[in-house]
Amino acid sequence: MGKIENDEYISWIDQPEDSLFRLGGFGGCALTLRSCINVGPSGSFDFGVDIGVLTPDRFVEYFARPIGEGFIDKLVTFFWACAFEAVPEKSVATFVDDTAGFNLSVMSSRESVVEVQVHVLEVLDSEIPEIDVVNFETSRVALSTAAEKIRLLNQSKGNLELELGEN
Amino acid sequence: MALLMTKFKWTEGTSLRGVWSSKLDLSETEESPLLGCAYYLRLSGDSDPFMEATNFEAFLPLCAGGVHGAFPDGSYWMVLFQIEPADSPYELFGITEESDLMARQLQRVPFLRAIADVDDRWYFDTDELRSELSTYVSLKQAKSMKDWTMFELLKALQTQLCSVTLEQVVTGRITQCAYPDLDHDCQHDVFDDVFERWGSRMPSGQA
Repeated sequence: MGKIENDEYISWIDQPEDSLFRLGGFGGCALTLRSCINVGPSGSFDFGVDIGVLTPDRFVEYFARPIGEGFIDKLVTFFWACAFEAVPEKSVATFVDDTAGFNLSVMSSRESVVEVQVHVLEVLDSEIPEIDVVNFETSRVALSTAAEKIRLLNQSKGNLELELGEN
Repeated sequence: MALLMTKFKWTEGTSLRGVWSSKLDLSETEESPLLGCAYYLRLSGDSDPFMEATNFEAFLPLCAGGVHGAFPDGSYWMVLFQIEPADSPYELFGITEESDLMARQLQRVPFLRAIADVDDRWYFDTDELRSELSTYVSLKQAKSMKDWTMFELLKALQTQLCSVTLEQVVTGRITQCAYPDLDHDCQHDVFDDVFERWGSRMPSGQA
């Protein structure tokens, strides 16, 4: 027996909690979004996200994706609807953000479980688009907390914009 | 008070919500005994313990199962069991202590910090666990536990939280029934019998 020293159990891809959003799924799957600085073509700084897809076999992260207008607010609405709609696969519209090359849709649902499908365009602006597709089941509890947690990225976005405005 | 409650100093009002066992199957011999560890985790506020249990199982090849529940303030806890043979080739991983292999596995769980804080741990081998559990039963019953495997002893730890006495479980292991005086859907395995009955009494029906 012994108390655990701080930071002894930090996973290799762990990050400070306020910059990471994670929608966990059953069986080792998850969708992650990490706030980051995105450098535009003209050298301008903007808020972006690293989009991560985790399965028991692999973790792929698509770095520094630019995001479209209302990205976070639309995700809040999407997660909230998935958690509380009786048949979300019929009533919840697919979340689409072409700027980030990222879609989320509902495939099926049961009383406490919802199956989501994640689409990530592997290379933005590619002539031959290839899409990384992962389906996983998550719980309605996780979806409702995701709707709250995703707002933390808004806070990171606000902090970044404040910092950029000051410089 | 159940052994896990004593080990991890649970406060009054702490409740159990889920019990699970993995499909891990390791044999134990005198030459190659098994080591076990119970990790005591405090789940973060937005974690769904039923779902996170499946995540830990997916990323921990040595996971043998666990239990989870809620503190009186509504936040969640989990105890996670890992088992490894004492003769694991842990040197290959640059590890000097056998038990550190299980710690290393836990570190590989992606986004562990977002899921839970590891609050405490308890290492044991089969004999130590048997010896600690034996204090809950009579001397005669303790003798009958001599052939219990590590997996059975871990299940015994779990049953202690499921409204049965260990004496009842020890007797039931011989008769393959935990509730001989009750009309119930007997599973013909004392542990399954306890978990089935406990699970059916939970509001969600999950065990």
